[in-house]
Amino acid sequence: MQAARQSFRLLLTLAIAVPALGTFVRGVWPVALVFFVAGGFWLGGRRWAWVSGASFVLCVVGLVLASLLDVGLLWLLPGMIAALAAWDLDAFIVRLASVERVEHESVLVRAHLQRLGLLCAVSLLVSGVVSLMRLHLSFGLTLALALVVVVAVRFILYSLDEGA
Amino acid sequence: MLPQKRLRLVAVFGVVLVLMVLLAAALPSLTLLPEREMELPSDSEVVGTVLDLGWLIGLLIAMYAIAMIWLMPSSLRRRLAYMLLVVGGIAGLIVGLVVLLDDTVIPPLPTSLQSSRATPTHDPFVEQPLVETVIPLEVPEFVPPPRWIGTLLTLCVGTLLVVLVLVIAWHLRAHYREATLPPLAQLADEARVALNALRDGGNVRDVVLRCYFEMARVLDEAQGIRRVETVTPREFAVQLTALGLPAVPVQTLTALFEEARYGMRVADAAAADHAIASLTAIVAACEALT
Repeated sequence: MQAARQSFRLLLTLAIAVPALGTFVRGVWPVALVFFVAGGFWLGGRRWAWVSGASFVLCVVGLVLASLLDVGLLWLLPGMIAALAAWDLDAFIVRLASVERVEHESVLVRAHLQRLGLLCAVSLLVSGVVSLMRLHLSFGLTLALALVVVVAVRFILYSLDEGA
Repeated sequence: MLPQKRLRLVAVFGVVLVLMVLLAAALPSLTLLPEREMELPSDSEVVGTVLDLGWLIGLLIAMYAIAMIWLMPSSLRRRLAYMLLVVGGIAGLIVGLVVLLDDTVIPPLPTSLQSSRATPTHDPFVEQPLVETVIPLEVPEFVPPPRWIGTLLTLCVGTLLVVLVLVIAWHLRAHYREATLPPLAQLADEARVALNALRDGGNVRDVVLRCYFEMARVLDEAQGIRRVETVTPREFAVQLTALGLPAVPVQTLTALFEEARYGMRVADAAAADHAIASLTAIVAACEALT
């Protein structure tokens, strides 16, 4: 559990510090306040279940604002991925804490951290590749692809839910 | 999860990943234009206020798509109707925003129309010499609205459109669910058909698991009882018994499910028969409760 808490703190620091640093470099430092507020809110209000989601949304709002103000993707991508991972890990910690006795807790935590680390690495890789790619698709094709993605994601969620 | 199912899931996930990469690479260069040619006045400063909002439209469509993923029912037979709703909603959203654009940009009056609006100032009954008098119209100087008004207006209207479509979808879903709620006998028949098909395939573990999932489905659709994620199957069985369902079939099916789901031992054919019998008893009990 200690490893999970430490990883959460590390990820949250990354999610706040990296985009905030990007806003300072770009010269739009007031946006950094959004990240600091989100981080403080997240750490300070962990006793309430809704705070984690609200803080994550605030982080995303800050990232969107920063991207509109031309802060480089190099700052925003790691921040986004770290925020997502912190959100997941926070839920995992809360869930573990809600169970009275967890068998093989350290194995469970290690497995979760390994999977999360792999996911973060793949996400960084894919988003990095996407940021370098440019394609021209027609509107109709884009809409059709988006609908296929919506249905496929729903199918994946449904299958995971059924298999759980 | 079965290896075949896992493989299929991984394949779908791979396809989704590739599609999302393609979409993400294509979206920055996507331009939303109306189908028909609109003659926008080039000298109007309003154009710049409302046309540069592609990101906002993209954001609203993304919000809508995410909400639809959340709302989409799992049942296959309702998926087609829902897909139509999704397509209609997105099309409506785009049309609404294009109409908003069209209405916001007001072209200035052509000069020929301005000159024809000259009014006679003399007595109409006395014949006057035909002298064309043109009185210049006093057109107030156009002051373009600030940029944020356009952004705010589009955001409000777009959000309202999304909320409206979602509310309609929610009501339709609730209405459809009430109208097409299958009777318990039909549910039981569906469960039996599925189980027979599974049993013919010879996989006993699947039959037992399917029985438990069918029980969960029947309870959800008939009684509105749903197992919370954090509740274990055994705790759920205690809850069901407390709600008046027969204890023996519920406990039997739960025990068989736990054995099939978490146990290492291969379930025998008798387990499948027990599971089906328990499920039938639970469905009958639900019918009696209703």
